[in-house]
Amino acid sequence: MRYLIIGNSAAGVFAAETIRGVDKAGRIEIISDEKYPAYARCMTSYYLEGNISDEQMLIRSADFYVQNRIFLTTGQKVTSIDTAKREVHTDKEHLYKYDRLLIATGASPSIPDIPGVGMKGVFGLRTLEDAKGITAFTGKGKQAVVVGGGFVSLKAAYALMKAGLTVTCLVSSGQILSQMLDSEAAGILGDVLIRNGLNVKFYSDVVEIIGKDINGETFAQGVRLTTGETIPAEVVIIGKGVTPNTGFLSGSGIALDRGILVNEYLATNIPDIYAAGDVAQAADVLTGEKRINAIWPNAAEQGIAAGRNMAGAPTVYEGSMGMNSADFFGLSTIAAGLTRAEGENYEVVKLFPGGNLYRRLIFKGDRLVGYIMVGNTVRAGVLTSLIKEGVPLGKTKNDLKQGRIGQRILW
Amino acid sequence: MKQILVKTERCIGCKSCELACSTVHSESGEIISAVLKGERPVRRVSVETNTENTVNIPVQCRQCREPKCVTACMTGAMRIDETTGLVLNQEEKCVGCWMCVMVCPYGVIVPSENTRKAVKCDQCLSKGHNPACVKACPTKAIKFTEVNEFDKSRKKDFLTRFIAGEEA
Repeated sequence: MRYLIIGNSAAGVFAAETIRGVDKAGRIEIISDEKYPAYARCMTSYYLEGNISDEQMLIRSADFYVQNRIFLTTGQKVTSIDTAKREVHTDKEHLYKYDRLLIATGASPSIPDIPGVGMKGVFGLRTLEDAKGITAFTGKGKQAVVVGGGFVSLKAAYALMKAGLTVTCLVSSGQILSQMLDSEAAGILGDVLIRNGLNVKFYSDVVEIIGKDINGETFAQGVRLTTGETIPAEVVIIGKGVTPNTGFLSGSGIALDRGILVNEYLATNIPDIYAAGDVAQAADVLTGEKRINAIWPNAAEQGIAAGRNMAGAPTVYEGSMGMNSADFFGLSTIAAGLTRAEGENYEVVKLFPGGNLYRRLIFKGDRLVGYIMVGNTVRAGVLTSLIKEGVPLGKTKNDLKQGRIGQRILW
Repeated sequence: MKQILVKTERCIGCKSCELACSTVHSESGEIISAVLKGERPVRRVSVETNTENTVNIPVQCRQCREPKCVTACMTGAMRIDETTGLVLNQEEKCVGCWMCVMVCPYGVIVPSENTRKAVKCDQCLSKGHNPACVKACPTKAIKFTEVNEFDKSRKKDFLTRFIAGEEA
């Protein structure tokens, strides 16, 4: 059996590992368009702080590929798949044959089409290469602009602040983390960031990046905002979401929506082709609809499920769930499920125990469907589990509404 | 592999296990010195009690076979140790993102305020693989044993009670 995996991050690596656990003899190949062994993609923001080594970025030991007999090809980008011939073609004119194929190509930062995005000093933040590029422009006293108010943007902004830069964050809406948090939680978190020196500009976006020519190359010098204001910046990071990497699949016959559509076995519409991770659009455990909850834990779990199915151990993937965790200046925030659900089908309870603590719990009938926890998040996982397993709460619901679980207080 | 298992009917909720756990994992190794030195020892076990106050159970990492914390860990710090089968956090790799805290269904991974690392039960692997909570339990409610051994002793207990007419 020849297993071919396109992509060498969470989904691809967990899949390869899982396949090897089931099938000791099959040939496993991974093709990556990057040049590193598997590394912690979510750590790229931490890397900007400047105290994490390249080695520390790796998520597996140096002998991982050899130990598991996984053939890794780096620096090659897949350009097309011939599903009839079961062949994959790359930009280096190489051809790979497969019996079972996993597409785990992830996503790329969405870069808005505005003047100046091609200048030196302007980056998305997704790859270690991006992070290395950014660090060439950072340093104490320099100025950075981060475009976007989501998790990637704020984590990048936080890291740059710690590296001694003056950082301005542009948020197009009226609150940070507007996909996951409500205004109360975002307010607490935003205040902490602002109090520690982050400049946040709400209801503003970038219209143009201004540059200066140095030796024939244009370097970013600042950004011009929708408000007309100009902010100086030697480095601009754009965090306006990601787009699944599906471009090479046009004409392949593989069914696409926003990402690659997969069923409960992570299988695509084409036999023996699977997809997992940020490129795969699988069922959401809460809504049943197919959507991409692009976070590392979902990618890893999908990789495991896809790997089992590819290796002939049928496994139903239980579905993904939106969730995330961030810690800024020691204030931990975790949110999961339908965190912003409102309306008559939902019951929302907000608890303000004092200080920087906040709890929002969202119920649908007898079940918990979402929560936001700010500060002291130690029991968050219990709530995540109640949501994901759809546990009927019974009298526990009343306890939860009062901020208790069993005899424990939820903060 | 051996697991830390509990005979709940013996647990009186005294929290000796919590204290022993904090102590053994403190830098001083002794609770009074740790407190006097201003350490804030982190315990990896916590005694849970139901609302009716009828059942107590010390809960620590269950050493899952398919651990959510391992798939959630974005740094590769949380791994199943191949030699022992334990779920271990390599603290030098941990950056304190709390993804593991977000997904642990038992809520037994503790974000350490001092070190900003995820802290969890390692069955006292670093202390000779001899769990302090088990040694400290005054009623011998906590056992460190193979699951099938525990199962055997539970069956025997049941049969003994059954013969004595205590179990219907």
